[in-house]
Amino acid sequence: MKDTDLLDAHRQELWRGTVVLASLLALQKPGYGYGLLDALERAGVPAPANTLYPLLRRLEGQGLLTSEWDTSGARPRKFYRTSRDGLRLARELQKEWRAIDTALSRLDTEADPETNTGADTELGEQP
Amino acid sequence: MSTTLTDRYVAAAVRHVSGKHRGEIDRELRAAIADDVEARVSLGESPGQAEYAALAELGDPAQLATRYADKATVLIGPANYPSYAKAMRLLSATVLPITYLVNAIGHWVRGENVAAAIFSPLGVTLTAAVYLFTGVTVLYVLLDRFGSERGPGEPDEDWKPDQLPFSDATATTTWSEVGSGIVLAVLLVVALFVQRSATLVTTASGSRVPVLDPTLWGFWVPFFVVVLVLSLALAVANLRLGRWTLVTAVAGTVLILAATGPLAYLFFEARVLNPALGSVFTSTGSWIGWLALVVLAAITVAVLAKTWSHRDRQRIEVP
Repeated sequence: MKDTDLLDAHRQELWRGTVVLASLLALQKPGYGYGLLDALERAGVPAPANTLYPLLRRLEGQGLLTSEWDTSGARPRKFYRTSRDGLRLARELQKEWRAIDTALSRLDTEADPETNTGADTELGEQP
Repeated sequence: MSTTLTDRYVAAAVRHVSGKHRGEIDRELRAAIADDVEARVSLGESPGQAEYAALAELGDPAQLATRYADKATVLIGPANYPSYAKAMRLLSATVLPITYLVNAIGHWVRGENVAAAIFSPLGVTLTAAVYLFTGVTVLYVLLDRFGSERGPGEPDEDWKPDQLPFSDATATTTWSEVGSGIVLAVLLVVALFVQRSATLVTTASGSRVPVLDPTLWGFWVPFFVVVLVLSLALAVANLRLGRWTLVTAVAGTVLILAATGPLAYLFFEARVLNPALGSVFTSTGSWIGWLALVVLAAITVAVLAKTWSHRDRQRIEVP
């Protein structure tokens, strides 16, 4: 019981930073708040509504998203779209994401004990 | 017109958002909630249930508002809290007992009974405590907001190992010392003015008079206030430098001598206390004069020893 709580806490911590990247990637196609929430959930990215909505506004404030109200539907909706700066940032973050994966694989001694002994385990080395 | 749960939720969430963004966030939230409700209804929930569940999932509106605001919601951040707590302890432990004792002695001197002398000063002490808590808190809130360019709770990006305190931490100037010093100085200046009009002291003939000799206001009181302000400025400078330099050590020496020297002279000449109080206090060479001389000499020696010994230690530690 306690173990799953602990796991959940650490998983949340791990996922938290990915919501920005996930949103920037998903919003290359314009989307509105609830739609994005749904899309992220279906893709398996846990993002609670009460952090996602404020996050979208913040990203818009940083110029990474642009927004537009669409009043043509039954209900007005605010559509967000990843800006050019936003996309550039997303590409950088993706690179970073792969670097994290590489770094973790290298550090994981159990996965491949051969490569992780001796001088080639220098920390901080970038691929 | 009836108010829906959603209306109440949105109102609670945007209440503390600044006017510029309020309308926009209001609209956005309503759209998002309506989307969620619609999705739930399409899965078979009743509209009422769906609205309730959607709002429950968004959670506490106050917390949502904080996330939208994206700014500090603490009064005193972790960077300043320890020194705030320390200053509060230090001042409470000094100012409050002194306030109580001075008042108790005042009551006793005026010949009131023991019970009055013990209980009457409690009210004044309580008032002093309220002023003290408010003053110190306001000071630290201002320090936290404007004391440095970084926001509350953010770490110092330009931190260098040079900023490490010396091992003898009690000998360096700290924010709590400076904060306490400022509060004490303000209290002292207020007391100087208050004693002119609202005095507790009466002469033998029964008229109320200021404790201090009114002729001091011509030159000496302004002079001591200036010395006090300069000392506080020096303390702040020390805080910035993190250590005593030759210039600050000399300045500190000049200031303490400028404060205690004339004060000792005035006490010896019996020009501090109001002559109207009677000759016991105000004749040249009275016991009060001698007591003041001893106390002032002790303070001077202590301050000078602290200033220069700390400088010597620095010279050894930093070749």
